[in-house]
Amino acid sequence: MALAEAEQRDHAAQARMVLREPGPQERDARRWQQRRWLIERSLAAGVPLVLLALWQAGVWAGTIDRRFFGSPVTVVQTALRLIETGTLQSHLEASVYRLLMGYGIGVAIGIPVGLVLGQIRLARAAFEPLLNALYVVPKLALLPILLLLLPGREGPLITLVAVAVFFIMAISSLAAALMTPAGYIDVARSFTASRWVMFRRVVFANALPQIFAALRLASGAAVLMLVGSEFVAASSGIGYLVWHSWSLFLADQMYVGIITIALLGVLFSALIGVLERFSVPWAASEGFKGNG
Amino acid sequence: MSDPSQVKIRVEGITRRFETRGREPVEALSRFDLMIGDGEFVCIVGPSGCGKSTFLRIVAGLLRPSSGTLAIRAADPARPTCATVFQEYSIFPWLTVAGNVRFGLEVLGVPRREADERAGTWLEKVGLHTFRDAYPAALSGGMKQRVALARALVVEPEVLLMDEPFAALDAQLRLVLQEELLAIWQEWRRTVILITHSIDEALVLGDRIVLMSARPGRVKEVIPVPFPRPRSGEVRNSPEFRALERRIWESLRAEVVSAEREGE
Repeated sequence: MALAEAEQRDHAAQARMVLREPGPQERDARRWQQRRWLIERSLAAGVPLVLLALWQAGVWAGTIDRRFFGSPVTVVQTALRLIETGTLQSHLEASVYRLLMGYGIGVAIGIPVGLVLGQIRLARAAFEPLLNALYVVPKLALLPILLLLLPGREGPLITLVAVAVFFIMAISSLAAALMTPAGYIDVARSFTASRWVMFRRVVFANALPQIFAALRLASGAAVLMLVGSEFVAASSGIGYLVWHSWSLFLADQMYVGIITIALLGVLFSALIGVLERFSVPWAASEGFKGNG
Repeated sequence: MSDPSQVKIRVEGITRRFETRGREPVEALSRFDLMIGDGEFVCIVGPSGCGKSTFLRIVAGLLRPSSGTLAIRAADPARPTCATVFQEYSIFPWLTVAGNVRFGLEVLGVPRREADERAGTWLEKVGLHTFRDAYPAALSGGMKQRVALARALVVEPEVLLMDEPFAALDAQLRLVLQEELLAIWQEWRRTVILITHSIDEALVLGDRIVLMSARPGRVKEVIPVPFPRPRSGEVRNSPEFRALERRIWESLRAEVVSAEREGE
């Protein structure tokens, strides 16, 4: 091929060239990544700050009624006061105790039940419809009965959280167990793995990433259920603090409670994320995987 | 329609690095140079992880190089420059066979009636016109790749890119689809870049074979394929074919071994 000549002709004919060239993103990949990281972080921090500023500005301008909505400044002052007197801590402690107990019990029962149902066809036939039907019943409606049946103040609250968590975990674990690829099961069976080994080393391991997704979902549901039941049936806890403050028309104090709940939820979810990273290292999908 | 003395694609010093936060950058392609003539069928062969797919994605415009330039001479600005046939999982399960083939045309804004007609013509060429209203789930692997081929060709691209299009098929079906591709290309004659692991496939289909080195990938050797056109699978029977295949494998084996040693 007379390439040089052909190119000359190209120039003469003014053919359109489609170019594939590095852009700014490729020319200095490191800097570009750093910049993007910085922009993402600033957005993550900046958007809430801007909203807070707008809230405060609205209060100062008088467009936001401070009786109902408080203001960031007074909410922070109230929070500091509640921390100083130890009120916030004692409510938080009560809530965290109920949350962890209920969540722990729900998870400890829900995951095995779901996985076992996934293994045993007849058990699935017997219980799956029931599980799905009960799942949609609002658990909070059970509170009066639980209050009647269970002794003590903590029992009903913890049970309610556990029930909410149980359903999410059981249904997700069941779905995950059913999705075990037949190929993996065949491998284990060809090595004559016992049912228990199969369950632990293949079904459970394969379901783990999905179980973690469910754990996150359940953490949100648990906080929701806890706060809901503390509204009506407790004399301590963050939910009680919110409800009580509102009935006394203490908007600032109510917002302190609401923000504490939000932070609690974020922290809880983040903790599960950390646990996930250690428990499911194979699910990490980042990094370069060349294909040819 | 095509003029092999004209350069269709000029690749100059293409390098591509992948950066991940907190990790050493990986260099997939390193100073890759290549000239591809108009209407030429080029097969790229190399060990796993040598950057073959990275190169194809750069040609397709799905990825930009870290440095260097790649120029494609586009004779007809009205037509798409490139269309790609991917390895697997690339035809949409939610569209019928005809819907998949029409997809590119719809994106280009071709009127429905014309799109239908063109899709029909290509479905006939790949022997799938009776399946036009079927969903991909009902198709075999070979049929799915025929759909993928028809979908790429129906937009009349100036350059056809194929990323191991037959890799997921069984050995017999591969041979059949290679023959079909040969027949289509010998009539249609556009620039093709095909990536493959199979030296045999490259020798049957290609005008030239580009042998790539282990990562970071660069051109190790360019081998012209001497067999006359029009060709068919029969070329395999000649002793020259076997001799050339053996010679290329000897050169490639060193790269495969070194790619394996590097691990990951």
